Amino acid sequence: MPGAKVLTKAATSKAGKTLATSSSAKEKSTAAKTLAKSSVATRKVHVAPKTGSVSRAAAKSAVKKAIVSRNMDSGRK
Amino acid sequence: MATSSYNSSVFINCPFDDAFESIRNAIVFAIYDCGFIPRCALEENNSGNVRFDKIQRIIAECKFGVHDISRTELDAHNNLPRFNMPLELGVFLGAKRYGGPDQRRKNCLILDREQYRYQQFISDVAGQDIRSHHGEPQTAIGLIRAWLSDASERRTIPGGRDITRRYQSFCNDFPEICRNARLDIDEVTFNDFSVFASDWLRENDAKNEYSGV
Repeated sequence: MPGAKVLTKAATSKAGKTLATSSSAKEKSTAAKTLAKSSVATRKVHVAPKTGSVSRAAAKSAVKKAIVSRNMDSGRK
Repeated sequence: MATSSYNSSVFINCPFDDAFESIRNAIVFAIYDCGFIPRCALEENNSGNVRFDKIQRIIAECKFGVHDISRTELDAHNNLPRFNMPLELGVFLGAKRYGGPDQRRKNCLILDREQYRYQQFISDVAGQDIRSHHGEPQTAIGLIRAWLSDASERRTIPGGRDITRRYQSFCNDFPEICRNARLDIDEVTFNDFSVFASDWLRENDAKNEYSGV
């Protein structure tokens, strides 16, 4: 994930404590976002165990092309 | 001893008809996004395998199970109830009760379209946690996420609204993914959908997702 900021365990732990104890809505919101980022950054998405009518390589290419196309479209807007 | 695959596998016991497809797809996507592996009888088209043998084998390979009994109703043609899903739920609960140490750690979520409807046809299951998705994919995603988080005690699972946002983005990309793969949407099999969902999530890193995907 080039360029992505890696959250440390300490930062995640601090965010958890802030979320539990802080009375400030702004602090809670920032802490919740930190925890959400940490969840996505550390969970592992598994590879699908079996292929269907499309080969693994063709499926990967189809997904990549769709994402690139969407990013280009959103860049134009 | 349980393999990591067993600890991450979720058996999906749900209707296979088109009317249920939007809920089934949301469940499959949410399971991947939570970091687990969805398994289903639809993953094997080998007609040489006896269907019930296949289901029992997949159940044995999964620690978790989502059982949607919302389609337990009278068949319009013969006026008899459809009991495949309660039967598979029974196999899962039986494995948990009588199986070895790993099987006894099984954990399941039971879904129906109304929370207390089961009392009219499968009241012995009372005591299990039965939840209702009201036929809404977004609700189903939230239920799957909350249950997997509690049952697995993993602290790496994204929030339900986060998963829903990604699922909506995936649904927007889905027609183009199918076009790129030269498939009509109605030709997409369970395995095709599963590969697309998994690949899509792996391609979208956290940075992109938080910048508005």
